[in-house]
Amino acid sequence: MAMHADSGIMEARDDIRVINTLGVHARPASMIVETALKFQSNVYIQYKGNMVNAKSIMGLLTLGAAQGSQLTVICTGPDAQDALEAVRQLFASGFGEA
Amino acid sequence: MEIRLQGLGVSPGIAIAPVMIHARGRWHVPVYDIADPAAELDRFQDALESAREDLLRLYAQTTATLGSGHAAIFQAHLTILEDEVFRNEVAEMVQKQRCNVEHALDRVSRQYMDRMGLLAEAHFQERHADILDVVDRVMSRLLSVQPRRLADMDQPAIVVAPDLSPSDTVGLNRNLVRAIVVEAGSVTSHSAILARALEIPAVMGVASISAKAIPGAVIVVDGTEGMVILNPEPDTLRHYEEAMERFRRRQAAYAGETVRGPALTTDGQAITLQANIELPAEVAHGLRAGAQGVGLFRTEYLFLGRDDLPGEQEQFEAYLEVIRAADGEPVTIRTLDIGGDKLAAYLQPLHEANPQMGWRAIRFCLAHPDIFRAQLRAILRASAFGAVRVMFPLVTGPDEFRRARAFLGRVAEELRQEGVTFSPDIPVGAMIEVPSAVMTADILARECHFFSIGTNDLIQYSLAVDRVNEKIAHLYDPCHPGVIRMIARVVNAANARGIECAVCGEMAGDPLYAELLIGLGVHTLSMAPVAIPFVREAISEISSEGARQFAMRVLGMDSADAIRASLFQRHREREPGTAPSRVPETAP
Repeated sequence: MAMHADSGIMEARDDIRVINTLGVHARPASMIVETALKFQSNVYIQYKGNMVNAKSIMGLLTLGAAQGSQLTVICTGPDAQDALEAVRQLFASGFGEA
Repeated sequence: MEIRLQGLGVSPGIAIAPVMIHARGRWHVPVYDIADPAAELDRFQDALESAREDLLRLYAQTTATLGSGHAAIFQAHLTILEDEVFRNEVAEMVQKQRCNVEHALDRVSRQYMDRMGLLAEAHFQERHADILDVVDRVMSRLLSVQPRRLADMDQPAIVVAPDLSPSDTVGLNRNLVRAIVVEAGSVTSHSAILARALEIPAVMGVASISAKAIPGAVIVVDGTEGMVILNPEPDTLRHYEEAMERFRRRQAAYAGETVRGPALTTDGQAITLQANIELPAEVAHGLRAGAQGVGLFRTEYLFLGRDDLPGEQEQFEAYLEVIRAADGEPVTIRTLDIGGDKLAAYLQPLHEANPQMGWRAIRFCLAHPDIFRAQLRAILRASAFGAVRVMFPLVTGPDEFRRARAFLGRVAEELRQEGVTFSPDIPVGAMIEVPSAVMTADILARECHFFSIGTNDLIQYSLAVDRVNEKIAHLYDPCHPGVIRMIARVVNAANARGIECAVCGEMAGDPLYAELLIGLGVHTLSMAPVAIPFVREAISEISSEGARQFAMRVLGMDSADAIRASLFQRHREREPGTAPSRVPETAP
């Protein structure tokens, strides 16, 4: 967690691994959007030099993050830390895949 | 001039109706400057809202008719439609470039689709089609062009298409779609399964039909025979109208009766008639027609038309629904009978030169223990609630059957240790549809609790005929002496060990073959619910002794033509006055 001295904006970031078999396909992507939309903060996911808004299903679908991919989640805003935690838990749950 | 095109009949029944060509055309997207971006964005909002209402309606409709699993595709489309980031990008382009919204929508969505096209794995690339679907929906509102969607049809028609997407088939209106004719597809394709479930006649594998058929022109589709007739002559029309009317009258005659129990021959031999089903709703059709349970529950439907795998719990609930509907009658659940080509949405892309002889059915399941385990756990758990039997498809011989059964044993042991209730003595059977299984039927009979002969695949593999290949489709012949001998061999092996040998392919549902099959020693026939009354009627007109003698004679015949001629001869004797050369009104 870092606070930008000039703006007061909080930023939280962490690396996350994709553990579910099918990767970030349509259903996990919509779950990520649903989670990200609960927070005021901006939530971005960076993978292989491509950074997308986690509140956009279209953006997430262009990531092509398969099982085993290492992603960086970057949250900026007043509830950045909580947003990061929620997204982290979602990935850790494997999106409830059987 | 009348043109007859032979395809693959995948769903029985006859239809006569005007053609509606369903092709996925791309839009001509206009590009022009605009003076008032605010008005342009209002137009965008209206189109988005109208598309959203559409999707909500389709979602509700599909949930009601097919269940939420199949409606999920519309939910996914809603998520795409409601993507704020995407909407804002389109709006921003309209404002900055002062261009029309169609152009902006086209450009922005193309950027996304191009990026997706670069992705390595097929199941990521496939979302491309969903985005295209959503963009088309919005675009059709913007351009005020009648959207070409099956779900939005407003008058009866025969749908003719190069191919149908899952989104097309899931949304089709069973009250208006009289029949489906497509160029691509096979018996196990998503649209074929859906057509059967909805009892819509369907013919697939009709090359270039969408170029040959004229929109609005009346054509004839015979889903039983796989025949499509363009420019039908008056005589042809009359023939098929009569056939349709006979079919309708006979169905109506049976609809009032509730027949129970087995079919009886004139000398009192009981023949068990069961239903082949895919959707829970079909169980009720079957029971109404007097089915004694479900002889073949195809589970592929749970796996198709979606982009994730059905979990154990979802499968358990689906099986339970069928078991409850069967009301105490037995339910034979066939494990997954598709292959890598059909599940490409969530597996590595697999290009097989010959998928029919490829990585499918039991081979595929044994190679995917996770998928197989989830299904077997669901089946075993469901077995606590009714008379469930499990059947493995495409078994090629004893070793493969033993591997599958051993796997089932391990899954059962897991459940036991977890303290989960299931039926410990669930019968396990093999689908006999490969010649090597026929030749080892005596060995298999020592280890299987039952057999079920899948005649469609058995004929295809025995005669080396791909029914979708129009050049050789006519060589597919249930009357081939080789086929009849194979059936006889399997039945003898089963009867020698005292295990049940059912027949569940199309031959079982065709009254033409009832006497021969019973004469060969078959006591159980499983078929589409719609065929049950007709087969029951045919059985009520034959004696078991006469059938036995007839079967002996047929086994001695030296040609398919002789066998066919004798079958038609017997049929004519039983039902004088009916069409002598064919029985188009009877469905498999």
